Amino acid sequence: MLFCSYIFILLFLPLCVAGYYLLAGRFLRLAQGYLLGMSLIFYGYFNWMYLLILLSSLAVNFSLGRLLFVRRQKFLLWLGILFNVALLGYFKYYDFFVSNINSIFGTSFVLKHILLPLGISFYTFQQIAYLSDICNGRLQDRYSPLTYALFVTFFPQLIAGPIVLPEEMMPQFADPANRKINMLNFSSGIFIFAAGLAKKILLADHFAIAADTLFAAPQPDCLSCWSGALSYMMQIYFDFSGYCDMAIGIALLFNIQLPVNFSSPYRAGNIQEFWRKWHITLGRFLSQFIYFPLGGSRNGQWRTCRNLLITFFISGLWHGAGWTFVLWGVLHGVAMLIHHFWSKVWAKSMPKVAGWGITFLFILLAWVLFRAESLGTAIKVYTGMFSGNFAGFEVSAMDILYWIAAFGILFLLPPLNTFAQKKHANIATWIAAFVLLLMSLFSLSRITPFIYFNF
Amino acid sequence: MFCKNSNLSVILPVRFGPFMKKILQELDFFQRERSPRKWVISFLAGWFSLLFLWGGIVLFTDPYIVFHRTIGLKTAYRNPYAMLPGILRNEPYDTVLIGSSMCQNFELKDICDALGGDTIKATAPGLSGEDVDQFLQEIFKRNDVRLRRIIIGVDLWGYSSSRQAHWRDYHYLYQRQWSWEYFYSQNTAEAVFNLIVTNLASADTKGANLEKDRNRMFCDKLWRFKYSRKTFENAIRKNERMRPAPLNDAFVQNIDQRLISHIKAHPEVHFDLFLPPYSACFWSMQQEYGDITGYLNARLSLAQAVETLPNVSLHDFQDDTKIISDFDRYKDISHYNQKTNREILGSIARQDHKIASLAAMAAANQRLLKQAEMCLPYYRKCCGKTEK
Repeated sequence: MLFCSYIFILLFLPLCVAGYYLLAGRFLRLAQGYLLGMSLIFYGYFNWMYLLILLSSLAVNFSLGRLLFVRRQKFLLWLGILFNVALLGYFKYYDFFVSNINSIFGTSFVLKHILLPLGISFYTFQQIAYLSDICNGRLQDRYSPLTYALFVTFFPQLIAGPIVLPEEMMPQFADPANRKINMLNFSSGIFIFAAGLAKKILLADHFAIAADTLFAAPQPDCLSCWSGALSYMMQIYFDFSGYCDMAIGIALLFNIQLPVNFSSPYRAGNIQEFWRKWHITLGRFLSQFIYFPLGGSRNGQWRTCRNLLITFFISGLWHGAGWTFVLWGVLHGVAMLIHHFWSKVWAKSMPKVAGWGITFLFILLAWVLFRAESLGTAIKVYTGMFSGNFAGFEVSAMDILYWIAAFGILFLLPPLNTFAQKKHANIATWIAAFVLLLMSLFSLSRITPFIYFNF
Repeated sequence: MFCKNSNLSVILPVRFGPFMKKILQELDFFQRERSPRKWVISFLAGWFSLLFLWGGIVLFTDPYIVFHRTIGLKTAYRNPYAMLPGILRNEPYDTVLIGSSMCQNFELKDICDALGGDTIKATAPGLSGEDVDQFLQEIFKRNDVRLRRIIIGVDLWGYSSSRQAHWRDYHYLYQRQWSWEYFYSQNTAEAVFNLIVTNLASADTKGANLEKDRNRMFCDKLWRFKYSRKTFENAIRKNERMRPAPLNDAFVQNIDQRLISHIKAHPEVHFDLFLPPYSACFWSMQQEYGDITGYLNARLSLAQAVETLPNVSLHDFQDDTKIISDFDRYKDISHYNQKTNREILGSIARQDHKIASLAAMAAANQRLLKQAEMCLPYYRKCCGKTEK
């Protein structure tokens, strides 16, 4: 079930919220069970076969977690990590791995064309975090299987994040104070959900058209390439941040505070700042579970470079089983290295505007690689961008309006997460939520799926 | 969202001071924190009231005739792709005309005069075999015992090409189940708006005006075209670069699954299939750029498929030189005028273009081929090309 579907907005969500609060007043456990059941229905609505994989993964990780509570042995943690990585590897990377083996060694192993279970990259990471937190003693309390299952399957964050950590989520689910409806959370939740929905429906899906046209065109001209790449840049931001806003908004309806995932990333003045503002929870996970365990920046320049590159290589690979994603990750890693040497080693600085411009341009160019189905397509777009061929480019007044709206939101309005933290219930948010929700509702029948559902 | 405690009024020229101050006060009114309880209750009450109100309007006006025939309003026949499933389900009829743009400017009155009965039209530009199949399913799901005749204008290419993209916007109207999309999509909002505009524009929602609209159903645009040799030649010149798509291998299978299966399953209904009279230049174009042999074979396949079926008549107008060589009847290479429509209907009633056997179709093919060859120099001339 998509957040931006009629059945979700008009039936599932009202039913879920109403049912939860009806039960939570007297029977908290039952209410949690109800929420878990609804989350499983939400997930199984895409394909009930996915449920089997999710439930198996839940059972194995919970059992390993219980064992880890008894005996905090690294062996058990590694066993858990191996299980999760193997699960992810099989469903996500099997065909990628085999096709590379086939092309390198000339073998002909059969590809399985496995359908990627939705959200597997997200819930696998969350469960690795759970096991690691128990092993490292960060998670002291033994939560019930119900609370654990809710932590993993809570439907707002199940499919595409934000990637939550056990210590920030499980106490919230177990807290009896959250059983009562909190009107301030509720009003903020509605507003943030409406704003996220509008980002996705009214902006991302509009920019998707230009981006799709560019990447499907056989020989695009220079301006079409730049505008198409910029469109994709806008699409992916409004799509993913819209999804996360919707998730944060829905979670607030249940008094659950999800971590912020975006904080105006395109305003970043350097690449490090960009990664502090873009997909924040992934960056946090990778720092906490890959970069720091590898040594971080503590063991000299060479080790720092190595650790950064490994982390960004994994980030690229996590996004998709393809060389374009790997290259995208490595490119960002290299950009981080350059930034590291520039600012820390050589201790140089540059004007803020120049820093912003270079960062913006780099991110734009890197998104081309991220979006392209193959390296050939990416090269085609890069060639078009610098071809100097200006014939054939057309822009409508409506497109210009969209660009103005997009840049206005990106650079003038405060990020939506400020509303999640500092909640407001005023007439401005009321009108904005009402109008945005209404406009989005009438445009729901022409939507495209979320980009991050593929990861 | 807005800057609180802004000092904007201080830095602006004095005369704008009070004005800006007032604006900032107004903004402050919008930003002042209210009771969250009131916020939520008023929002939910407003939101659900609006949803129910709009749902009621859609249910009452029912612009795509999904639930009922239009009540007290004049139906706006604007979008065949969206309206046809509802029309086929809810309008009364015993005769149906199904076809592409070749059949779109048929008048219901003409059909009634020629063949009798209470007719409805299921015609839309670019109709494919898949759409015909869908319409036939809708018709037979009614289990209407009054249904006696189905007339289908068979465009052979439609059984070889896939469904056109614009149908996808209305896929939910073809599902026989309650759909959110119908109530709350932009398509429906536009249709309700169109319905209101149509009714406001014409106060007469009864009598002759209403009859005229129903009679012409979806063909207002086609009525405005001029049918003449000059328009015909201009259209050929303009579309000279268009190339006809060859028929694919799935043609025979598609004809069998999407048409013949319905004919076999419903012996109680009589089917009149007719091959519409494209101009002779159409066949010359096939000969020049397309696959005329493929088309001729497809005609033979169709004749063979219906040869032994008792409840079907196949009428061939494609080799009728009186029609296809009279270019004053056309507005482009294939679309003909209403005079031709009436002749087609009269001929179906008299059965004088009926193809009764495979041999008859083979003979018709020979005549068609001859016509195509004869017309080829003229076609090239229209395209602005010299003789090869």
